[in-house]
Order: sequence, then C-alpha cells, then structure tokens
Amino acid sequence: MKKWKPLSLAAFVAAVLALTGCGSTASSPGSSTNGAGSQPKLAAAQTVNLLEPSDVEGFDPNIADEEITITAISQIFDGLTRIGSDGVTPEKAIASSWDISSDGKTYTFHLRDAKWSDGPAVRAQDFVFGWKRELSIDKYGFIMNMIQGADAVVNLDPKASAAEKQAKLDAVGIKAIDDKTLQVQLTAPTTYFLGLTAFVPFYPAREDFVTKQGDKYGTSAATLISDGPMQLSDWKQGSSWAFVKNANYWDASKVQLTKANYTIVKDQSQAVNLYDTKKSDMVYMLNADNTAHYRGTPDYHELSIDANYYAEFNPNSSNAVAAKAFKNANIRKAFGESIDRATFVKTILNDGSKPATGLVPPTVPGDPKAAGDFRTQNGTLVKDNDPTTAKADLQKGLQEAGLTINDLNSIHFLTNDTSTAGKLAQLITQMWKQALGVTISIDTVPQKIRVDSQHKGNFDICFAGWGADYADAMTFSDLFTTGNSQNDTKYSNPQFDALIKQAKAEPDNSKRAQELEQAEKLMLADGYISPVYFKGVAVIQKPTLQGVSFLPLGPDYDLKNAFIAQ
Amino acid sequence: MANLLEVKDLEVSFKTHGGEVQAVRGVTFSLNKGEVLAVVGESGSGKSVTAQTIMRLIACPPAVIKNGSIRFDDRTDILSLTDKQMEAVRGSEIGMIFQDPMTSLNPTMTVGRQIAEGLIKHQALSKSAGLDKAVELLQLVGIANAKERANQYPHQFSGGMRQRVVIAIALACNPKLLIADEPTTALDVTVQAQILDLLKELCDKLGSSILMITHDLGVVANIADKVIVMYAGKVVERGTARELFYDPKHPYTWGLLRSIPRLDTDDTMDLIPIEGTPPNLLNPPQGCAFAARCPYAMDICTTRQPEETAVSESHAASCWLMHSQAPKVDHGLMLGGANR
Amino acid sequence: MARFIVRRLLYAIVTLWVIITLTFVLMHSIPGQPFNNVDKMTPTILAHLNYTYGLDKPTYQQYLIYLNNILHGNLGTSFRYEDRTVNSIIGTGFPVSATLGFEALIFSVIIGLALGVYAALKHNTWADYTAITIAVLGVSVPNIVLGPLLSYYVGVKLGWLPTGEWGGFEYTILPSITLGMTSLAFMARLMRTSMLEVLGMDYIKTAKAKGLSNREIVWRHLFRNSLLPIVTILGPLVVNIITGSIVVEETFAIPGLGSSFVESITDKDYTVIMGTTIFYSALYILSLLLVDICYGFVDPRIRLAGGRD
Repeated sequence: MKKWKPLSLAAFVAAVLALTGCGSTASSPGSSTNGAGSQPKLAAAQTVNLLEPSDVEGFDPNIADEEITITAISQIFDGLTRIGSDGVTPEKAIASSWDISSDGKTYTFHLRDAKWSDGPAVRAQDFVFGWKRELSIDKYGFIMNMIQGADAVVNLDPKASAAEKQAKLDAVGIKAIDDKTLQVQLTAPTTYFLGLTAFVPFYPAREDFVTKQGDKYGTSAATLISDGPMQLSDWKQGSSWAFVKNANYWDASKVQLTKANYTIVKDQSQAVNLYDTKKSDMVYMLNADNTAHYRGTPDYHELSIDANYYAEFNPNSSNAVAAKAFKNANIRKAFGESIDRATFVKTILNDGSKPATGLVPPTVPGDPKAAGDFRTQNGTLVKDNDPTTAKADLQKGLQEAGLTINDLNSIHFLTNDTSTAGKLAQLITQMWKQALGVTISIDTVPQKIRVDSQHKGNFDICFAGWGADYADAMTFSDLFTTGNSQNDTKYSNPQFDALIKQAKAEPDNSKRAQELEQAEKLMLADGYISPVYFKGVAVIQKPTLQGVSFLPLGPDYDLKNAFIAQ
Repeated sequence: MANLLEVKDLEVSFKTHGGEVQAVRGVTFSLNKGEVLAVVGESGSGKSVTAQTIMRLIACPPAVIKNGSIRFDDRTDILSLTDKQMEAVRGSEIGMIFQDPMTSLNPTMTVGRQIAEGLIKHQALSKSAGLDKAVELLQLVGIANAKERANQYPHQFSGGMRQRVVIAIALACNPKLLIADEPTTALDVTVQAQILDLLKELCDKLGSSILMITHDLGVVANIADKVIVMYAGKVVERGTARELFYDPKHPYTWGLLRSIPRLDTDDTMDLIPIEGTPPNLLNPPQGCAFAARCPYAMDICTTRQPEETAVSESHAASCWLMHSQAPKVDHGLMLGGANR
Repeated sequence: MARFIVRRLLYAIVTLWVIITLTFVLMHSIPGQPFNNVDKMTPTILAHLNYTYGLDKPTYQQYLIYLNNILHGNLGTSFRYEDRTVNSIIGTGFPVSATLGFEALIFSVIIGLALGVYAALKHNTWADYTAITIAVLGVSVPNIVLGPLLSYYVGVKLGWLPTGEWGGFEYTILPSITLGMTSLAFMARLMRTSMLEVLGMDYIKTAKAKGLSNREIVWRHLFRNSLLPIVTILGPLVVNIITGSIVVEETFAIPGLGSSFVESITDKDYTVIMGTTIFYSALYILSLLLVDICYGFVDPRIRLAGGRD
C-alpha cells in the first residue's frame, strides 16, 4: 500500500499557469487569495449574489447530469475529496486519509468526524448507498465504470428483474468496512480516481433520509440534507434558490460566506445589466458580445476549461462524395491544415479560448516523471493555417480518390442553430473556400438534432465538443476507440485501440502517460478529426468577491473559500 | 309676417391642398315664420353647405366663412355666437334632419335614448322623464308600440321608420326652424310621400318653419311655399313655388324642370338632362356660372355676372336673358298644369 | 346566447384535439431525444431512459396514453425537471405571465386608446403627428430590441428602475411597457382611424344637431362606436401579448410560463412542450370566445345575430 502523493510540482505549476496566464490583465481570482501577503479585510455582510442561465433540475446528486445542477450541488455537498483552490488537486475532505494498494486497484478511505446538515454523522455506509444508488439510477453511472462490477449494473437490460439488478448491485466493489472505513475495488489502476471522488456522482446519500423522502428527495430545502460548506435554504422553482452556511460542516470555520442567492437569468445581456447595477457579483461564461466591454477592467478574467472542440470528417457518410473524400487521408489532412485557428478564436469566441494544438487540452496531467502537463509533453500535433501544404495535400488526395475539386462542393457542414455555432460554421467554411477553393454548404439544426445525427453518423463534416469527465487524458482518448458510442466517424485503428487498452491496465503512471501520448499522436495523424480550439471561459467578478475557485472540469466553480472583501 | 331666418351675402369657402374652393358665393334669402322654403339645386350647388352653415355644423377648418350674416329669430348673428351659445340653439330652436336615415342614427344606442338626449339637455328633464317624452314623440311620428320600440336599436327599424325617428329627434324640443337636408332622397318612393306629409303635418301643428334642401322638384311642389334655386354657390332664381313652376325665368330652372317626369301629361315630352357639368369652384368662371352649359348663352354671359332682376315682389332671377336688350327665347316647356 | 356559447365550446374542444394531435406528431417526428447530457449519452443509458419514460413503446401507444392522461387532467411530468409536473410548471409560471400580460394589456389599452383618441380629436395637428409617430415606432421596434434597450438605458444608465428580475410593482414596469408597446401602437393607430371614421358618420352630425357638447358627443357617441373594431382585435392582441411574453420574460429574467416554454422547446422536453402548447391554445381559444361575447355586448347588432345563431 502506498500513500496518495500529490501531483508533481510541475503539473501543479502548469495548472496554475493555465488558470492565471491568460493575457496580461487576467488573473485567477481564485488563486490570488491563496498567495502570501495580507489577507483582505472581510466585509460585514458575507452574502454573494449569483446568476445562472437555467434552474437546478433537482438537488439529488444522483440525478444530476447537467452543468448548472452539478455546480449548484457541489456547493452544498462534500465528497471523500474536494478539488483544491488550484482547480485540479483533490484534497482531503470527508476522507481524512486513504491507502492505495500497490497494484493501484484497492482504495481504502478513512473518514473523519463529519456531520450531515441535520446532525447525524457521515458514515462509510452513506457512500456505499449513494454510489450504488447512482449506478442503479444510471444517469451518470458510466463514470463509475472503473469500479468492479459497475459496468454490469449499467449495462443491465432495462427490463431485467429487480432481483437480478439487486444481485448485480451487491456484487459491485464498494464496501463499508465499518462506519469510518470505505473500501473500493477497481478493475484497473486509475490515476484519476481520487479526483473523481470529489465529483457529484460520488457524493454520499443517507439511506434513512432518502427512503423517507422518496420522490421528494432533493426537491426542496425541507427534503434535502447535505454534508458540504453550505446547505439549501430556499428554492423557488423556475426563479431562484438560496444557500446558507452549513453550521454542521466539518470545516465550517473556514467558510466565510453566510449566504448565496441565485437567480435564474436566461438572457445574458440582462445578466450583465444586473451585474452593472450591483445585483450580482459574478457572471460566468460571458459571450463574445460581452467580453470586449469588460476586457481590461479588474473585473474581467479568462479561464481555461478542459474542453476541446474539433471538426469531424465522416468517411461513412451517406453522401457518397463525402464518404469517398474522407476515406482519403490527404483530403482529411487538407481540411484540417487549412483552418486558421488563431483567427477563429479571436473573431468568433473572444473569451480566452485558445487554438487547439492537440486532442488533450492543457492542465490535464501527463507523465509525472516529466515536466509539464500532458499537452506540453506531447507537443503541438495540429498543423494550423498552412494553405500551401493544404492545397498540395488536397491535389494529391483528389487524384488518389479520383475526385475533382467541384465534386467536393456537394459536401455539407452540420451545425447547431445557436448564434456562435452559426458564425463558427460561416467562418470555417469560408476558410476552406479561401484555402482549398471548396464551397461547403451549411446545415443548421437544433443542438439535440445535431447530436442525434452526429451519433448516428448522418453527416459529412460536423463540429463537436468534448468536456473532460475527469482530469485525465483518457477521458478524451477513450472516445475514439473502436465501437465507442461517441466515435461519430467510426474511427478504427487496431494500433490505437491496443494502446488505449494497454494504458487502461497500466499500473505505472509514467508508462501509462506515454502510451496515451503515443495514442494521441497516432489518432491525430489519421486526421478523421481536427481539433480547432481549447475552450476558454470569460468571467466578470466584482473585485470584492474573492476566493472563488474556478474548476476546469465538473462544476464551474467552488465557493467554499469565497468571501466578500471590504 | 316676421322673418324667422335671414341669410345675407353668405360666402363659405373650403381650404384644400389645391386651393380655395368657393362653395357658397354670396347667398341671400329669408324665411318667414310658419313658411316652408325649399332650396333646390344639383349636388355641389352649395345648398347643403348653406344649411350646415346655418346650423354651424360645418368644420372650420377646412371651411372658412368669409362673409355674410345669418340672423335667426331677430336676434344676433348666428355666426357670432360662441360654441356654448350655439349648443343652446341647436336642437332646441333649430332642428335638423339628414339625408340618410340608415346612417344618421347611432347604431349602438337605443332609439329612445337618442330622442331623449336633446330633451334632457335642453329642457332639463330627468332621464326617465326624457325617455317618457321620447315614447310620446315616437307615437307622434306614427310608430306603433312606441314603448317597446323605444328600447330597440336602429337596426331593428326599417328605413322609413328610422326617418320618423330622426324627425322625432329633430322636433323633440319644438324648434322654431327645421332644416331638412334631402329628407326623402334615401327612401323608397312609396315612403317618401308619407314622410313629407308627416313633416308638413307636424310643422303645421308645432308652428315650425322648414328649410327644405332638395334636388327633387317633386318634393318642392308638394311642400314648399317659397323656393330658391342655387347653382354653383349662388342663388340664380327665387320666388314662390307657384312662380317658379308657372313662370320660371332662369335657363337653369328650365333645365331642372325639363329633367323631371310629369305624371299628368302624355309621354310626348322627353326628359332632357342638362348637358355638361357644373363649374369647378376652385376657379369660378368670371361671368355667369351656368353659361358654359346654357343653350342660350350670349357673349356677355361668359364675361360678366348677371345682376338679380326682379320679376315681382317675390320673384327674381339672375340672368342676362332678362336684360331689356336680350333676345326673347322660347324655353319650350309645358308649364304649370297640363293645360296645353 | 347560451346555445351559441355551448356550440363554440364544442368547436374549441375539437380544435384543441387537432392541436394536440398535430403537436404530438410533429414533436415525435423531429429527431433527437428529450434527455440531458446528449453529448455524453450512451446507447445503454438512452435505452434505460426510454424504457423508464415509456418512449420505447410505439408512437401510437404513447399518443393514446397521453390522450388518456389529458382527459384525466394530467399533463405529465417534465423530462428535464423530474420532480415537476407540467401542471405545477403551469401553476407557478402562469400567474407570473398573467400578471405581466394583464399589466401590459391595461397599459396598452389605456395609453393606446388615449393616444388614438387624442390624435383623432387633434386631427392633422402636430399633436396628431407626434402621436402617430410614437405609434409607428412602437409597431416597428420589436420587443426583442425594445426590452434590452429599456433595461440598459432606464435600468443601468439612468438607474430609475430594476433592469430585470421579478419582485414588486417596480419590477413589472419595464417588461409591461416592452410587452405592451406593439399592442399600444397598434391600438392607437386603429383607434385613431376608427375615431376619424366615426367622426365622419352622419349620426355624429345628428348628435351635434341635437345641441350636444363636444364632450357629450365624444363620450356618448364617438368613443363607444370607435371601440367596435378595437374589440375585434382584442383576440389577436391577447395572443400578441402571450407570444410576446415569451421573449420579454427571457429578456427581463421573469420566471413566467413563456420562458419555460422556450426552454422546453430547446430541451425537447416533450411533456412540457405538449402541456404548454395545449394550455396556450386553450387560452387563445377561450380569449377569442370571450372577445366574441364581449363584442356582442358592445354592438347590439352582433348580439342579436349571435342569439339567433
């Protein structure tokens, strides 16, 4: 057994740099308060007012599968670990310590004396109940697939009998040794597992309370208990909700905020108006329309999140020309090479997003023995803005495929009906026209329909995005294995599959990272997808609101250490 | 007999984008108590404008009363009354009937209330007393089941019945003068006579004078004591009804007489319309306005306005043919009774 | 009258049924599914969810089940907000929308009529032209533009009123103005035209000839008759305000039914789309019926015709 060891210093620095180093004026408000120097004076009123673009779907962590709900729930719950103010590192929370077996497959967590908001102690059994409940509800259950027996529950036929389901649940490798000890059995060593235990699906649930509330669990302040820094005090469905400080929280002495008020504001210009009239302390994820107005003010910050947006070229399209074209490696390459990513990021997004240089975005840890994060270690793998090479590649490809340039004009680009997606499609097709002389038509559909068509493979070229589920390169690489439901282009490279499979079983973190890096190189060289940008987030935040940690994956931010300065 | 109404040199113009339309160009006439005066003329001759000016119903702007006076009941000039004073005259001392009974009643108000409105205003009656009086008036104008009918709306009445209602409104306060602007034009021929009879009978009973605006000489013959004939904003001939029918002097009057059918003769006489159209009053002609359409026009007619020439104390006409040096012409009309 | 209303109600039910069926068919013919997290949805999870919500059944069966539920007054449960029934979503959202709509209606009717009457009485003067300019502007500036402008200039720049959110009376002013502006302008123009038309009517002359004062004429004869065409547009007006509230609620962050409706469409939240569509349609049909009945009260000619019908 070995004790958990923090991320390498280099990765930590890289992560902090990623959060702070976005332009000269931007600094992470989260990290600034953790530095040395005098602590700012607290204001008398420790109330924060926040806006969200839609309502929480419910405060039951086991049904949460959407960003706003996940962000809200994470303010009032605590997992075994909690992501630290660097936005990356899992820190001790309900678990005060843990042991990891030498094969990296058995985790034993030792719980501290923590209490639920209604008084009783948080016990290991609460985690067992919560995690198994997550699996049995199965909305986000797939994220537990490294736990022994979890896949069997998730993949169970929906019509299976209750007894059969119970038997599968009983076989899952989650066990309460005693009230204070939780043991988890994994199928393979999983470096990012500790980080995951800070995530919403891994929160505890207390059986007696959940059973008593039934369907009402998590639907109001009265039918919810939580174990985090705050607790739900009021929820007017469809319009607002509020949190107050949880006096029973084990780390309550560190929590400064006494209240957080949330209002649902769907329209961002209204959100900005409310911010300007001091009705709100923060607006998260500003649109490109609003960033220019605040850039350069102390309120403005740009953050990076773990998300990558890329173009997909479908060799299995029902459009024969597109299929023929994208079966050809040179044509695929030409399309990827002719995108001018810097212009793209600057003119359309303008929110701190960066040109993509690979599949895995920055801050995701790489080989612990080498310097830098995964991205730095694997270097720039995307050939950007090279019309000359692109043109040559296209010529070569057309010849190989027996197509003319005019044939390519029948190719379609499938996109969402949002304004950003529309502009994006306009610009990218224009770039192709300029560099390659190809006229691609744009098909605009609602997001859900776009995703549906995309997953069914009904497209020629499509724009897709992926946000990390956990802080590891695997969350991105896994998508492109043969048979993965997210593998829209039906990419299949046995060599790639073998590398991923190997990495999944690899107990040596360093070797594992190298395998993933190699896989990334391979996959991008095949060129069925072409990364375009790493998503950034622009935030405006009143200078008086400090100590908020912004997270590159999972919840948007954490208010645990936030406070209002004078 | 005392003059009830004396209109002198009345000139009314309308300001339009094209310029000033001189609708009434110096009209003078008078009306005695108990008398019926008919004003005859084609549409556009200024007869309705004259009538509405007497009631001060004409909108200023666009209308401008440029000259003249209207003396009513030996009092001050109506044209110099304030709006408030005029309201006391309208309905109470002068009543008015309009051409189209289908549109001259408010479709959303019961008939009884529409009659009572004036009464309540001028005679300070209570609402219920006003409505009772309205029922009496409906009976007076010959409407059966007056009590029920008073609570009905205009669309439940026929055209003739509606005109009776309009008459009841106009006569509600026993006005000294009733101005009837083409009161029978929009009605069925069979109803026309009834309405005229009713009007005459009621005015006799109430002692009201009538100023009857019409283009229908049949109506004139039926009801009028005196007649004035208007053309292009001027009075071209005036006289008693008898004088006008038996001894018309103005070619325009001849034309009017020629254009009506007569029931008492053989159909050997054709109806002859007056050729041409009335002059544009934006730029009235220098001479006689009728000259352009007059078969007897002489040179002087187009250059100088004819003076009014008296035929008798009550009869006069404005035409150069009446000048001593003018040739005698034969108008070829069968005049008066069919005695030829 | 009673027979007329009963017959209209029957028509209304048939109309609703057609709307329900069409919406159902259209909604189910659009690709995509009503669940969240589409980007990460795996086929297994989708199968589980479809099973749980009965979406794996043939569409006609789903339709029959849905119809049966509606007959029992049950509009179903939201797919996105699993603890919320559509009935409760309408129950919390509609009072807010109704308050907003009612205020907007009052605002647009009162100011619109006043403006129209004023313009007509001051026909062809600068006051008339000013009123009409306001009206034209009101019609041509859509509330999706007017709302943000008001919110920014009156709320942020001048700081006179809240920029948005829902609270006391002061929160309702800007949204009501935004929502009512088109109707107001429409109403002002219509009222002006109607007044001018009635002013030229013979019965106004009759009234004048009776010796009534201008004020008496305006109130007793002119106003009521000029209102007739206004009553006919009240139906479309109510719809205008309902559909307008969808935008305005979003602009001003008002927790009404309109914003739920928009959200449900982007989410493809079947039950909420169906429920709100049915509710809106019923509301519309009802408002048309009320307008017809109202019209009868204002115009005696229609009342009788309707009675005989």
